Amino acid sequence: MLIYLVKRISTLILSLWIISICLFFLQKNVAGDIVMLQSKSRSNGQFYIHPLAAEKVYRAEAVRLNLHRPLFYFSLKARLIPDTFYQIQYPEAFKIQKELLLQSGNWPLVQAYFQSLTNFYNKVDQTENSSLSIFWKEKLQEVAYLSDLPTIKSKLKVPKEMELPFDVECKEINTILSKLSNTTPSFFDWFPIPHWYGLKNQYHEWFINIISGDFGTSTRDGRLVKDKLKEAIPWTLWVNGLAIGLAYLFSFPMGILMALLPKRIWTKWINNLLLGLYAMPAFWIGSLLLVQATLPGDRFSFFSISGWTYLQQNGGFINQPIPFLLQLSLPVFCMTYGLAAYLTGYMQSSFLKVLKEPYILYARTKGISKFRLYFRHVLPNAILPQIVFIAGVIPALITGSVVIEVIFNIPGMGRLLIDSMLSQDWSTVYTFVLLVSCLTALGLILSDILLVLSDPRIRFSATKNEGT
Amino acid sequence: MKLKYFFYVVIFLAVFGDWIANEKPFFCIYEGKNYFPIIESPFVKLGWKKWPATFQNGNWLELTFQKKINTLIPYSPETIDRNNLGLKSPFEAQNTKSLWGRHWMGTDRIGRDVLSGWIRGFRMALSIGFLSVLIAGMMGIFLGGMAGYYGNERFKLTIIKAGILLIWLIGAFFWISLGFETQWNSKPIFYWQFIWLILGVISFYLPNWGNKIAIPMDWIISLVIQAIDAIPALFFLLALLPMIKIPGIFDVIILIAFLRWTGIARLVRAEFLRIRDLEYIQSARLLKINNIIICWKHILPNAMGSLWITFAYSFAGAILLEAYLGYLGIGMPSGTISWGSQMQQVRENPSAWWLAVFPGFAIFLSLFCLQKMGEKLEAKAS
Repeated sequence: MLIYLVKRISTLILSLWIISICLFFLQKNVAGDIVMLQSKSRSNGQFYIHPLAAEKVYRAEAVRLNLHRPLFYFSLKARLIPDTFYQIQYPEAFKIQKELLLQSGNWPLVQAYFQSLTNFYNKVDQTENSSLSIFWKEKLQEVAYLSDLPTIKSKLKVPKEMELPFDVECKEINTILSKLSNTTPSFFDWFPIPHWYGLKNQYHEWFINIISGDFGTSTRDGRLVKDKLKEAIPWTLWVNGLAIGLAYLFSFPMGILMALLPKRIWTKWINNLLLGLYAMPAFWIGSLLLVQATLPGDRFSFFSISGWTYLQQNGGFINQPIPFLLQLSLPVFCMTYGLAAYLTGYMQSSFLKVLKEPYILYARTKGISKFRLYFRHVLPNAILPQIVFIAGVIPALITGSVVIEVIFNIPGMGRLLIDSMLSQDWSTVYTFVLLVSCLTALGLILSDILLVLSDPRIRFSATKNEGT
Repeated sequence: MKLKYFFYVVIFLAVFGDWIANEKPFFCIYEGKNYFPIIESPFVKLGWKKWPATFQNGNWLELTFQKKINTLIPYSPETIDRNNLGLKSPFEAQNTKSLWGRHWMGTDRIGRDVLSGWIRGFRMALSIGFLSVLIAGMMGIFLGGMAGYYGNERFKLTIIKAGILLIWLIGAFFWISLGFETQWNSKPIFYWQFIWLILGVISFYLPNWGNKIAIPMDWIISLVIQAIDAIPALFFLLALLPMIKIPGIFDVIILIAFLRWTGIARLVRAEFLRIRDLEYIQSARLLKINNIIICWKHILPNAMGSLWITFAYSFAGAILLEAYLGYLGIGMPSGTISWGSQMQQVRENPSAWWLAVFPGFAIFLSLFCLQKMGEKLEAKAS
């Protein structure tokens, strides 16, 4: 038993770790330029920095956000790409330098080219002749974002009187350019070489932060993700918890009743009805209810689509239990009926299954009363799989609650996710998905443990299976 | 009612939807010439046939023909009926020439016919469901079968070969990602990829030197399944979708398949685990029949019975996921007409009940029938 538990939990941790890596790289792939986004949100969309001079500002910002580190513990890169290549922060510079590097395969030369460009720019900056300096500055800014060598050369061909004051620099750049165009990467330059970066990398930092409860800040509005989650989680818990509770409350007696009723034609129809209820998508019923609620007339006057903020400000359940529950009634109903229908059928079939067991026959032959038979011998055994089933239901329920929250405008986790997605707030989205998957995995493992603890037969076979 | 007739109707609507609801007339006489626009339109797209210029860009509703035979519903899902803009209810007075052109399920905000979009929804749901289950089924059967048949101890390789395999896989990942980075137009990288492939084939046929070790296939695949299952499907889909810059329907299908294969794989694994220890499989193994043939010819047909049940449920799940995506307006290419995207408009116009009732009913009906089918198959299997 203990061995089984240890094995199960260790694979769970491993798989969560894999998920965290996948989500981290997804986030990096999707997020785009976080520095730009951050700066934009901090300066109300007014973010413009001069190219060439921009790199310095950008780099400082990137260091502040810890983006100057390598992505992962190790990397696998072609031999021609140096292991410190990630240190170039400014995306446009990165792109141009990478293109030049892949063309020429000679990193020192590319570096020398950009160094000479910068030197040239600095020298131009110091001259007093304003027309000359403006001309060269524009020229250099244009050239700095080109990667095609022939076009760079043709751009740098200028009239003599312009070139004369900066004779040395022009010559230097031209020699480097001709060297660059003469070199190409050799065949073995493309071979992968692993690099080890150690613990100081972005993934490690992100992961450690999340484990220690620091979920970072939202890239959109700069608020703490933790605070956003704190506001959202209670709503989702309320909706899901009420839905699960009500569904079980309804389905247990109904399932038992259905199992005990004599089989007639109409029991078949009730089964079909339950299946139909289960198949009715909650977001369909939700939007139909919403249509009803917003039609003129006082059909659902207790529900208002904007009533959530009022409840949020006035203390929710504790201060105003009745408006709170009434406001929740429509979404909870949408989430309950399908689950209840499914559970009723499940309860019925497991009750009938237990009734066929030999020990029930034995109890019958002993002549105990029907009541005692059903409630002492059948019911505990029939309820067991239901309790375990709950953990399996949770992921599906959370998925369903996303759409319900969007429909009824509930400020819960699902709507937070959708809103963050639509406003491209990726740090919230992926942190959030990681958290939900952790919770789901925990639920699944809990149900397994419950099952194993409650049923000796499963306990035995589980240990046996793991042993072989 | 027999279930299969419903499926016939759905498949008919999905395949011949364009023949039932189309703005193009079935047959028309225009400027003295006969045309069969619906039949001809694919040929025109391919350039095999020519139409007058008014047909090419024209609004078919506003052309005047000498004679024309319309389809049953003279609107395509995308057709904008300018006379009935802004949410005309099915029972409301509509500005149409005759009863033929009436919008039986109303129109949406920009004047598109809901009924013809509803019929298009069958094709969307069916193709997304079918293709994603097909892909998920292939993945699930392959990986689940590997896990179940080989288990933790039967997949044996010599230590050298296992090492080579590991290095080869890492290298293959590197070359493919490098290929994507350089847009597949760099020659030396192509040569390297080719060499890597040849090296892989050669190392496969290397003689077996040294001791063999068992590779825990079951453990590896179960770990992946566990990892994917831990993320609720819609969340995972929403996390994966932004990776694709401009998602098309096929991307959505592949992503749904990627989420759905785990359920199938778990079942296949369990079935293979059960069947591989039966006597006839053991005797087949004694006869040194190829493992692939044992799996494909002797185990899989036996496992298929319970597989159909999961296929039915996965089909239903895929349709529901697609409807969610359409409803949330995320992931599906803009302008795609499906049940979900029709229902999405109710959120902005809550008074338009017909946009919620009909598409939702179609979703409900297809889910119900698929569940019912699964239930029937289950009853048959037990």
